[in-house]
Amino acid sequence: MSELVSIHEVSIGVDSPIVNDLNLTIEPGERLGLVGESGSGKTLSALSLAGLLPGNVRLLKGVISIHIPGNMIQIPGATEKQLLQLRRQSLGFVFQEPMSALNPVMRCGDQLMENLKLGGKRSEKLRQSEALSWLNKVRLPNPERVMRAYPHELSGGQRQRLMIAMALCNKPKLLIADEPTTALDVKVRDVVLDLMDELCRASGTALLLISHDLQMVAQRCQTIAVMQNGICCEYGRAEDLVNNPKHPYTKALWACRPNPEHRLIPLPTVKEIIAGGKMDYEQFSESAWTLKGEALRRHPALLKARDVHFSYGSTQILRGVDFDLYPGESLGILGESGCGKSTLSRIICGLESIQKGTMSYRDGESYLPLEQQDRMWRAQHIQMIFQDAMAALNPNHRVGRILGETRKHFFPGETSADRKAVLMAMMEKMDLPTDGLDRFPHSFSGGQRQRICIARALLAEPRILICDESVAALDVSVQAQILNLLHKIRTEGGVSFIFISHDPKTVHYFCHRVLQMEKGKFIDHG
Amino acid sequence: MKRILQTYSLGIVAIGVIFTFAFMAVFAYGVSPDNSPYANQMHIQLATQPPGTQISVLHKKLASPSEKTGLLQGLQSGFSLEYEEIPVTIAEKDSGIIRYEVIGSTLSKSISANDVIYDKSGNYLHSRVFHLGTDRYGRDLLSRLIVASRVSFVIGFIAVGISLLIGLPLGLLAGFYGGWIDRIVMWLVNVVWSIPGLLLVIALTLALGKGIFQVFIAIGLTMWVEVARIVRGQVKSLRERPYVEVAKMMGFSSGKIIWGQILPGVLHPVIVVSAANFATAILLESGLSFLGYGAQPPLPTWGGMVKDHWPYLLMGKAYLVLWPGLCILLLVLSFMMLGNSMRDFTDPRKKSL
Repeated sequence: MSELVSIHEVSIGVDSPIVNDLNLTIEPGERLGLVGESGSGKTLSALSLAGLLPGNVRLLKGVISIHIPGNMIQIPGATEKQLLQLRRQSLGFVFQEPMSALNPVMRCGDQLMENLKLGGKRSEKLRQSEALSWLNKVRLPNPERVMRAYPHELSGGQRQRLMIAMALCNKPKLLIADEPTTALDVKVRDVVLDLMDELCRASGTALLLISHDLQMVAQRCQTIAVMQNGICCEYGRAEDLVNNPKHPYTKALWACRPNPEHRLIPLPTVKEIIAGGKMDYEQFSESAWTLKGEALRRHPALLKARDVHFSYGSTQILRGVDFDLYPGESLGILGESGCGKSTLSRIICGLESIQKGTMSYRDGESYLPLEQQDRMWRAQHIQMIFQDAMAALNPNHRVGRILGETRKHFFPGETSADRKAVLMAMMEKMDLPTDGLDRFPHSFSGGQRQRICIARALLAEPRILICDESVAALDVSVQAQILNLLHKIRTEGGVSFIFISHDPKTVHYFCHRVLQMEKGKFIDHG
Repeated sequence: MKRILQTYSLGIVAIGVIFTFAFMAVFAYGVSPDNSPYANQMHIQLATQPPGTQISVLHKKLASPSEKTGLLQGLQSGFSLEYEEIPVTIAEKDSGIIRYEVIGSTLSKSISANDVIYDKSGNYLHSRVFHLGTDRYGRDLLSRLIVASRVSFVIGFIAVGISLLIGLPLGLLAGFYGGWIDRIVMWLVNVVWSIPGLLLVIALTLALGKGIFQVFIAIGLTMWVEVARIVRGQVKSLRERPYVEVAKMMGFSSGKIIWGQILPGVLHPVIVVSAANFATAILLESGLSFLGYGAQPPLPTWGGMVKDHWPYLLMGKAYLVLWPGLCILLLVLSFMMLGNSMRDFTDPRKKSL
């Protein structure tokens, strides 16, 4: 047999299977992509390869065989010692969150050298030189410094490079990369992936790349397996999956991505495509879309920002930002992380105070300077939706209380029966389960949590809604649902959007007008 | 469920021990053999009798019988005696007169048969068993132990209550507002912390006078420090959470944010610390009583009992010290283990496993 890994009819689960009848093979040097939404079982499948299934999750049936030089390991059946040797010498891991995968109290160099030691390098001197050369290979700047640095002293991208070095330093046969770039800044994602690719090719290491991003995987892998609810629904060559996807789920994953050149409103969602029922998608041509935006801009501006400056200590974050937001308009702000777009949004909603410049808001006929209004007044007009919905909801309170206290805050005169009716209507509008008011945030899915956050913002009945990377952390299909929801809010009228994201496609798809931000300034009005 | 029982078996045992002691403390006068106030029936001639000693007693009617104590009041502060207890060696009833010899004396005495109280079957001799023996004043050791558990629980509750009353608001304010409030609170914390706990308590009891309530207050005043420090740290990290930012953005008042958003997140660690503080308070009180600064006689406390009897350690009657010592050990250990288990139980990282 020539393959490196063969997974044969494997089911994984606690009592009932989470992963069902998985069949995969990885040839030496092959790059296989495993694509699926969160909860589809892709991480469990990868962990089962190394005998690392968590807690009481077990291999229910099937056989995994891994060919390593001079030996073949079969799971189940392998001893703990064999598995240990397998993990030390033949497998490499790169996890999503490098900070939690690294030991925070150990120097980076020591961690890398420890790995080399486990791989069988006996001499201390040899390990040291090897470690240095690996830090060079993953192109970490100033390797000597990195050797002595602690993980928190490195940036996210640098940490992930270190992880790659640690994973590859024992020349494994297979590198398992589980969402290796999801936690990283967009700017460095491609660089890190390129590096991983290159090093794997150079050493002939096979790569198992796990991601929810079908497009990214399609660019980098030869074969792709698409997983849905624990079942591998399509498995084949990458070109075939891109050009001629067969399974409706794969088709749906392609179709539900926001695409500004082919602007469908609302976005088709995975559920709808699989159900086969075509909804009434309205396709906007570029010119029609531009016209619509221009029509909106004929009214007087709702929010005017002029020459906004902000700095933290000596670091200038914003250096003279100007923009107008018109009623009903969706304004996109595009930029890499660190360019100041989040700071700008925090200034607009009052979490930071403006240091220089003005921001005025049209209330009735006159413009009011925003910084002179109190928080309450601002919150009645401007609301923000954060990126991490889980963190934005108090885990100790039920959703009913979270929403109720917000409503009560803004409409103290309402009777509790009226308030209850408003909440129920809002839950329905947000497509949330009606019993959800009695549940805690952690019992909801990621998309539902973001809906709760949107519901909370809308309960204040604001005129401006700021979405700061609000869909960035979500799976593609959930992202489509949230975008549709935002669009529905937009068509109902009365709300202007400031939509902030690093992803050009999403911003251009959703917004009438997009401003590009770089180093605290808008560079291009388009 | 089985996993929970296995993981937290020590904690569950601890809860069992604590509840047993708590039951003892609440119904002290209901369960103790000697249910007089403070279990203070002394018979000097019966001092340091070994465990299991059984004696006969006559119950002599009092000249001016006190009112019979009601059940509730009795359970609260002990049943006052309706008779005088006379431990006897020999007793004979002879035509309306009972002749008897008191233990430890060969003098024969007599009493009118009408002056003694008979039991239900008409016997004038009542039997008394000292299950754990008697202490140096001839009091029932078991009864003293049971009644003394009250002090330990009350000191725990009051000291923890005072420490929460001071530590929680100070910690919340310091953590939430930072700046000069934080600096003042932390300065105070550091000052209190730099003084050895026992010394501070001794100083406070000297200032406030000897007595059990002074000890309550003194211990509470030393323990708020730990609560304040932990609450402050927790608040500092919670303050940066997005959901607190949302509340700020919404224009909620600071009081509302602290009460509604931050306090619920602080409660878990505070509960854990309070369990440990409970143990510390018991230990501190025992130490103080041992030194003679704590509860004053006749109120029984475990520390006081150790103090009364430590010379017997080397005189073949070590159990006089070991029993109260064991009680302190068990209760303190149980509260410590309860605290540990609760820390694990409320740790979200362990929950996800």
